[in-house]
Amino acid sequence: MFEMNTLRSILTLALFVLFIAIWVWAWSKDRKKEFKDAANIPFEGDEISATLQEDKK
Amino acid sequence: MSTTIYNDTVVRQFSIMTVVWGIVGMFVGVFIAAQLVWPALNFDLPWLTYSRLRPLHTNAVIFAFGGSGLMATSLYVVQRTCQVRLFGNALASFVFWGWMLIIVLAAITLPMGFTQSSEYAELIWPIDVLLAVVWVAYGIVFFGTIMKRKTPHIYVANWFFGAFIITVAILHIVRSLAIPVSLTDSYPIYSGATDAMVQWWYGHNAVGFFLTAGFLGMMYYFVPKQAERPIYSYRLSIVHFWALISIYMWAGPHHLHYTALPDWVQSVGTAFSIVLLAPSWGGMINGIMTLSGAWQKLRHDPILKFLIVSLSFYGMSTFEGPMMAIKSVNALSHYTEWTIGHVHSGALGWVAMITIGSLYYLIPKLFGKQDMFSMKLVETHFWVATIGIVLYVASMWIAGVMQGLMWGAINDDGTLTYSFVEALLRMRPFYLIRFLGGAMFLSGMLIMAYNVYKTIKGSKAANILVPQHA
Repeated sequence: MFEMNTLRSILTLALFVLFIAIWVWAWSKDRKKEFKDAANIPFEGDEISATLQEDKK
Repeated sequence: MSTTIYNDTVVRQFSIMTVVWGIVGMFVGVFIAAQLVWPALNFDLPWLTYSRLRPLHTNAVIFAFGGSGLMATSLYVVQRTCQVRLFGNALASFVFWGWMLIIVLAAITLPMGFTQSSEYAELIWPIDVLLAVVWVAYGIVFFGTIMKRKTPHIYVANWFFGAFIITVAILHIVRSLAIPVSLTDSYPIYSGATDAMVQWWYGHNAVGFFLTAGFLGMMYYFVPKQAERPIYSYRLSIVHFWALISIYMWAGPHHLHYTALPDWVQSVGTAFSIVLLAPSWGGMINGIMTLSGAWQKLRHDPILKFLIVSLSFYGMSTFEGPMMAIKSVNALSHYTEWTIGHVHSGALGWVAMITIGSLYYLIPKLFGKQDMFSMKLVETHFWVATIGIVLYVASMWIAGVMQGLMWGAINDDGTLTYSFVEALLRMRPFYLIRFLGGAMFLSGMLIMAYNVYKTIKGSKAANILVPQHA
């Protein structure tokens, strides 16, 4: 028989497994390049604003 | 080829107002700190009493200063990292003016004594409704921009800003549910222990999502930009995000230790608060280690000092928080000045310092300047602010521990060793040191205001082009 507390325990366990899965996913080799590019997003398009600032002076 | 510029108008408006509301909110804070030293400062006027000005202070620094800072930076960062112009020009403008109207209404109603009496959710129901509308508009502007992004990936800073926007909407609406009986009065739909739990579910997640997740969004953009190197570990940032948002939700009950709240709920709150140390420190380490191999920058760059010291304070207060959530520690710390010290180590050390650092990066760029008018003054501001925080936090630690010990001291016959007034009298020197620390932090903000004024005086708004994609 399933009772509420069994369901709660299963949910807790499922969330823990999900957390481990996110960890494995984030550290997998396939993601390495994607994340390297993602980490550089703040630095894209910098030159354009820099030149524009120069022109204004 | 047609060119588009970023919508920085709304970012400029919010940036300037962050400085203005920072000064207003912190001035009210310093004023009520002075009232605790010199009680006559309420001048026997009802609207100058501590009980009315204290919510004005918290609302002004959290929602007016912090909120404007978050809106300025999130609306800047989302455009830069999505490489598109902000979604909805008129709507963005509505968000700014709507937010300002809410702040003004709060500044009028709170001193007049109109309140719902829930901590950090004091505003009366008509303002709550307006706040919900403006907040949803803010969400539409932010997520509308994400939806039309030109970059395939959604940068991690936007994940934190996004979680902050969604969660604050839910928190605000659920906490503020009430039955209005007149324009200024209403009854909450919850009662008893349920009301208390809803309150601290709201209150603690306001800390977790307003004062943490939002400012972590700032951290993930401005620390890499100012350090001129990408974040230390992008994959850690992903685990950081999911761990932080899933654990914060459950930590609220630690505000209600030894109350009518069921014991098991208190224990759940304690457990989650302790686990919370892991994602908090993961994020802090990720930010600080971004400087790895470039520590010398810290010596010459006052903006970086603001950002990195803010992370140090973040690490300190997120260690202190889980410790204070342990029931036996809480038995000593609860209801004492220690809590006030803890809050300000987070609010001044983390929230205000990272906002100030980000604004010093942002403001010159928004007005087509290379740097602030005076980097020397930025350095001065940094030291005045840091010493101010240390005075504030250290005095409240000492006061709080002493208070907790005095309240708990019991004679052999079971009577209390000290009366309440005896403990209160011992607070006086520490209240004075706290007042001085707060006044120092406020004077730092005045230095900033002068520096900002000199930086933008006579300069035109910089129109920065959105990069064109083939």
